[in-house]
Amino acid sequence: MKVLVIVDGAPYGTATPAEAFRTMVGLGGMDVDTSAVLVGDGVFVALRGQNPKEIDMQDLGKGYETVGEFGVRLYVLKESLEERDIAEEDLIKNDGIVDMKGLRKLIDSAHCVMTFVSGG
Amino acid sequence: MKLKFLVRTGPYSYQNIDTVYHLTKRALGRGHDVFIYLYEDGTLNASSEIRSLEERNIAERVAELVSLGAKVGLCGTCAKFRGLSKKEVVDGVKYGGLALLVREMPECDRFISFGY
Repeated sequence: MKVLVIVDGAPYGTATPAEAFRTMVGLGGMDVDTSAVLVGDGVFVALRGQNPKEIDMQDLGKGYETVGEFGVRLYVLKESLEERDIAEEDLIKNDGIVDMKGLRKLIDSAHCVMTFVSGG
Repeated sequence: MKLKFLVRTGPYSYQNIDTVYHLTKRALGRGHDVFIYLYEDGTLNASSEIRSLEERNIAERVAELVSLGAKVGLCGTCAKFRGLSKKEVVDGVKYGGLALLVREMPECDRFISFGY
């Protein structure tokens, strides 16, 4: 069984990316074949060198960098990076940049897709 | 068909639980199996402390789905974060961890996330 977690939400302001993080490491920790892809403002989660101390939050980038230890593959959507002028070299460790076609393949191959989109 | 619904939003602010309620009733009526997992704010939909005055009572609707044969589970950790204890949860709703959901996932024909 393959699960895909789609994260579409900025790292701070809502709990969405943090909840997605807990979910994916929980799934991975239970040996579920789990992939995650950051899309939209979710790509900011993968920015290296976040410093959210001023707002009493933990660095989500550091957390996401460890998902591989739970067997989770982390991808980042190319189009979302380009729209936000973020370079690949500014990202935390990940398993690759995928474009929309790649995202579609990930969705097609997943048994379950869990979407984590930030609310307004 | 086996249907699994993930509900991430709470009662009244969002319509997701209402959509799931109607979908589930229809699906059960047609002989399908339904499992609902309440996650994050979605756990609050199963609070027996809901008092909605003249409005529809979401917790009663959750209880109704259980009585009709839907399996309903919620994330205990999410519930604790929101001050919802096990004894406050609607009867018949399983108070468990992510493992509850993981156990149900392999068997599903359709998995639908209801979030923002």
